[in-house]
Amino acid sequence: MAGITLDSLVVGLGELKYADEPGDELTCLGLGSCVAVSAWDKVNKQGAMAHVVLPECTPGREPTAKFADIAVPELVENMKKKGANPKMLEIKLVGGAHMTPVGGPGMALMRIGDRNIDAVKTELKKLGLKAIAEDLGGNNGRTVRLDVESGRVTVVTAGTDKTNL
Amino acid sequence: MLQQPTKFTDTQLSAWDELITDAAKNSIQALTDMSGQDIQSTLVQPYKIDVTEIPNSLGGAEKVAVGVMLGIEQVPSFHIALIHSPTTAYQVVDILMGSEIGTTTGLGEMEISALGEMGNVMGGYFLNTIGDKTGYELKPTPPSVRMDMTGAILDYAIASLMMETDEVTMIEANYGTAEAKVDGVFAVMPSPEIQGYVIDSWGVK
Repeated sequence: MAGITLDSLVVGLGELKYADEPGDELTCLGLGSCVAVSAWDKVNKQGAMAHVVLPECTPGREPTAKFADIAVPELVENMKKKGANPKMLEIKLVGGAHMTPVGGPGMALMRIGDRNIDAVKTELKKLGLKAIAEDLGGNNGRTVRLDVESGRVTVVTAGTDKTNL
Repeated sequence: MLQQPTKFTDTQLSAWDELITDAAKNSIQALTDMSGQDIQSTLVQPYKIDVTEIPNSLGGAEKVAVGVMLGIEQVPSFHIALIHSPTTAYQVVDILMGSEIGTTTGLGEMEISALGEMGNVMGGYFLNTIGDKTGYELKPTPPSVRMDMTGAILDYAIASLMMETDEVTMIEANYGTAEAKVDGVFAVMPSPEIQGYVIDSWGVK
């Protein structure tokens, strides 16, 4: 993939990953309605990223990081266990685009991107946390990268240069 | 009223695989008929895939592509995708419009309409084959055509599938013409729910 270094750690759909090695880069590729939750601990130079697909875990489903209500608390708890102070985390949110819905009943009303954004923010609020920066909504796909050494977060939209968030 | 899906027997699964394979073959034939070109295709047999791996299997989440997406009216978790690189999509438009290859260099209203019609025809043949063989009519939604990262194009489909399941049986056909060196992917992602409705309606035990 263009622009990805050897140390890129791709955070796939529904995954939550952690990194603390200099040069490590946590990456969510091709986000549409999904939301990437990026957290950086500047004291310990460590970061985590979750690739949220759906707002909430429904009964009968395995509770994994694909759901905002599982991913956000788990991300914060993991960082806490690694020595981070949750209140000091630099949290940034990217994605939640309104992609053209295709499908049957209810798809047009699903607004998955908006619902993912709301769910992530609600979960952060429950923990007394708030994002310090965001690139959310719109109707284009995005790739987001977190350099865990510098804390720099970059966002690329299809066909554009990367921008710092 | 739709019936609840059931747990499938080996016979039902085998019949389902055969059904969607025939449907995919008919879709490629429809593309040949529509374009007037000799479309060569390689059909990938139905295979089970983790929903999270679908973007990787269709070229990679960050790769910029032109996607044509269709759903069905009955449930939100059945998706048909046509995925091309932008260059390939322009060539496809040239073939469909009977233009010299290289004429199309971007996606305007007419080009989007041509690709949408291609989705309508291929998707329609696929669904009609299922309807003809099983008696279960699946109505396609209007197509959505967009150029974006492949992951973003597929996001709605993936989210709606993930609401129900972590794994789907997918069928995929790669096609092109020798002359224009056009390569595209036609992929169908039915959820177990709709698979259950069709099999129940079909009566295969």
